[in-house]
Amino acid sequence: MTLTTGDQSTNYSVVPGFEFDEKRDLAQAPYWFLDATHSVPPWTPMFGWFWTQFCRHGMQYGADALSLPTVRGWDWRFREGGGYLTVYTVTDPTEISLREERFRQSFRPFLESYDEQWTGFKNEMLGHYARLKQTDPDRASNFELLALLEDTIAVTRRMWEIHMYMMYGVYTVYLLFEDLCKDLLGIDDTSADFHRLLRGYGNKVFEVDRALWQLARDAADADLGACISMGDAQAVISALEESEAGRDWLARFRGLLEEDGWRLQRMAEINLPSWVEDPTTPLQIIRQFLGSGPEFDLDRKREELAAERREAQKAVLTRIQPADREWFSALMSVAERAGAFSEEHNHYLDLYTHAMIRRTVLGIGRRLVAAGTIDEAEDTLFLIPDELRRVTGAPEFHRLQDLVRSRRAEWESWQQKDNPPLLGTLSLDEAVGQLVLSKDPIALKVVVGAMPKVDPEVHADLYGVCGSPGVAEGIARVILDESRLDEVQPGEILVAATTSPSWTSVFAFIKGVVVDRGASLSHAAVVGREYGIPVVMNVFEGTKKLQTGQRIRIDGTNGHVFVIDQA
Amino acid sequence: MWTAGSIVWLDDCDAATAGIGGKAAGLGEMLSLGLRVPPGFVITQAAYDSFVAEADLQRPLAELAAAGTEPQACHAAAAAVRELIQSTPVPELLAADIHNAYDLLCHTCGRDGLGVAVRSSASTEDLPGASFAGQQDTYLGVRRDALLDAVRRCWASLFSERAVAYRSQMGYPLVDVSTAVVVQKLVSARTSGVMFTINPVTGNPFEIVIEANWGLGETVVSGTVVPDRFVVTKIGGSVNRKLGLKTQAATIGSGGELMIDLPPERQSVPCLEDAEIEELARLGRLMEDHYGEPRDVEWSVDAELPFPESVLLLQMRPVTTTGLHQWHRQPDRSSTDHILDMMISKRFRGTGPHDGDNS
Repeated sequence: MTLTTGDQSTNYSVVPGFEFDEKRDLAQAPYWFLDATHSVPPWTPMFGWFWTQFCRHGMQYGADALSLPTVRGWDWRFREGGGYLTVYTVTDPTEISLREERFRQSFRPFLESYDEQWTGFKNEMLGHYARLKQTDPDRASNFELLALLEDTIAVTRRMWEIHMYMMYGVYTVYLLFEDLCKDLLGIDDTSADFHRLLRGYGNKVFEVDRALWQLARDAADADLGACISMGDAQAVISALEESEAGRDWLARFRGLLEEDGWRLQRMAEINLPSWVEDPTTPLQIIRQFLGSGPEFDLDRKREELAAERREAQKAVLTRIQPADREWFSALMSVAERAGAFSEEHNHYLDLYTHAMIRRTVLGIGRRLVAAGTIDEAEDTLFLIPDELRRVTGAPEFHRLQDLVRSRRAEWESWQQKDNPPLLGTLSLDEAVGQLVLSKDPIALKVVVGAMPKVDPEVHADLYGVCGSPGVAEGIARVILDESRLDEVQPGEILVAATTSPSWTSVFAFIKGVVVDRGASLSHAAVVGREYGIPVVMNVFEGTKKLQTGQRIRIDGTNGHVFVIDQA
Repeated sequence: MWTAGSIVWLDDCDAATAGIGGKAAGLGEMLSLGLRVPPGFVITQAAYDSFVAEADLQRPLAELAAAGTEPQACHAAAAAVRELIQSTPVPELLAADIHNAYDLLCHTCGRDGLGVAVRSSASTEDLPGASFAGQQDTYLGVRRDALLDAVRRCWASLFSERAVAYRSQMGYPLVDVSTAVVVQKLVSARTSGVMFTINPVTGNPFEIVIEANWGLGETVVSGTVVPDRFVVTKIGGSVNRKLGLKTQAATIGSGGELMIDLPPERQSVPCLEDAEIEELARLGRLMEDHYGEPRDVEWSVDAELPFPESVLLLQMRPVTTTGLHQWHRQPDRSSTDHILDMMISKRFRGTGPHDGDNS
């Protein structure tokens, strides 16, 4: 790319070494998928740099640490804000055999000590975050800020190692369990019975929702409902500060945020504030819980699902011969953790780390603003770490306004158009076929997902795949931006490009969900099953074709969406 | 009172009761679980033994034993034994015991001249197929005057060609065998059928499948008609109904079982009420919980009894699971090793069910 203003004629890459280069990259692999789950809308340069470098690193690390026989992780490229991926598939039989041999040893901990392993990683990451937080960016020296930047980069790299090691492991177990259920029980993950076996577990995201629900109840008991329903976050906080009960409630609310509020509104981007910076989102959730009335009981719902799960597991075990029950139960007990992991890892890994990246980068940004290097702290989102390294030691000597301006303009132009879903010489079907050869559990279950089957006889308006089974009818509510989640009304059907843990709480009130991209272990599918509502995944154009106010019917089991009447 | 040991009431039977055969033990166990079965009694193996001891059976039995595996000779000798069993009078004391038990059953049920079902209850080694759906040795609608004859036919079925060939093939004793006989009140069957506590087609353990037709269960078991099919989900309890093609029904006539044609108005309505489906499913789950494995059950709804006492279970057996050997763990592999084996062979090396279709 060529700059036309500012640092005149400087050729630069947003992610040096990882910009998509058509000639070179298509010679390497004939297909590159857009990661539509994470990079739509297109990333800012800063976030794209972190993701492309380290998600890539983590996948290769995870596949190697586990010695997955047929896949060595993914390669990633950055193109106009989109993340593009191709899979390193192992095809040489000798190499596969060698990897299988190592796999037998390296995979063992997943089956024998899953909980210890995951707890260990969570504690490790919490330790890293505590260390990062010890540096107050506004008091640190320039060189302490640079050290914080390097530490943040190192923590991000480590986060992705843990992330992908765990995710490859857990999803491998989940897929084997699904295969078994299909063979042994005649049920697959389009069956409500399959999901009954695995749901009804607590997890960290649920615990946070539960704590917010408790705060809503406490607020109702202390007659603070009116305060909390006032306009924006600042007005709410001012109103609460006026009474003893309000101050007491606010102290507990802030305590919760400091503990668990290090999550960004978007799952894979850092350009919107964390809950700690801006409590609008958690206050919205509390407001929605207040509106749902005293009879709405999160705990009871959870207990019902857990009771169902015990019943379902008992039914399955009757079908397994006694000699095979032990290993079947062992496998099931790890598979049933996949849903909890899918929710929880976002909290402890991606979201928390991304909140730390934002904290560090904006901290440096404020220093650069003070030195006149840039105009606003958020301008750093249009820079990359190399540029922060270049200027942060002595920012007074640098002016990056022109660079920021041109990058921002470019980023804005990316937002105006869609990145193509596939780059390369293969058709989408052929490319998916290639991907399937890798047997890569993450590709199959999260990023690409199954292609919808069009059944002309049912005359559906959109076709997707099952995320969570069941049928629902209601008013569509299209939400593209998490900050507008408070518009969702009880009983509506949410339509989104993708969802993340911050969206979880609305699942308690809605009838169903339609998501543009994703598969059965994507966030919306996992949470939909936990709340027992139908979810249709991978409809591709739901947010384009459906409109808020339309009455729609969705069939989660078969992946169909019908528009009943127009808005 | 009757001779010690020749009669046992079903209420007093359980799996541990000696000398009553598999079917009676199963019925006794069902009763002890609180499952309803038609009332009745068992003519024990000891009764059969005392009959053999008094009848002049030693010579033909010895000939059968001598015939061994030689088919022609075996065939003839077994026929001679059956002939003799059916023509030898039941010893007077034993006959009185059986008649007394029948009279008491009539009294209990509040009806003279009660029709009963008479079935043999042997161990499976002695009488293959007799433990379930054994049509060949079931006599329905039997009354007092025909009772002893039906009992002797059951005894004779020990030496049916099939039973003898089976024992011969398996190397089991040919002649040193015994059977008990179960006598139960005949259900006045408005509707009958079978129930599986898993879906027998897909193997789905979350579904209970009930197949039913008007009248006796014969038409469902033998596949003479397309029965009504009800699929009940175990969790949630929803019912999926599919009407069959119920053109005929089996009933009891004066000469035993009889097929009648059904009028269109009975073909077009389901032969089970919702409450009956629910009750059957409840009983099925109770059984499965007790045995820890799926069951296959024959049942009837009695037209003369009030609901829920009308819903009666006749016999049951485990559902045989097949085709799953590829997933079995070898005894020398630990659970972990077995799972790792499967990950490699099914997930990474093989084409698991989800490759190419990961929805």
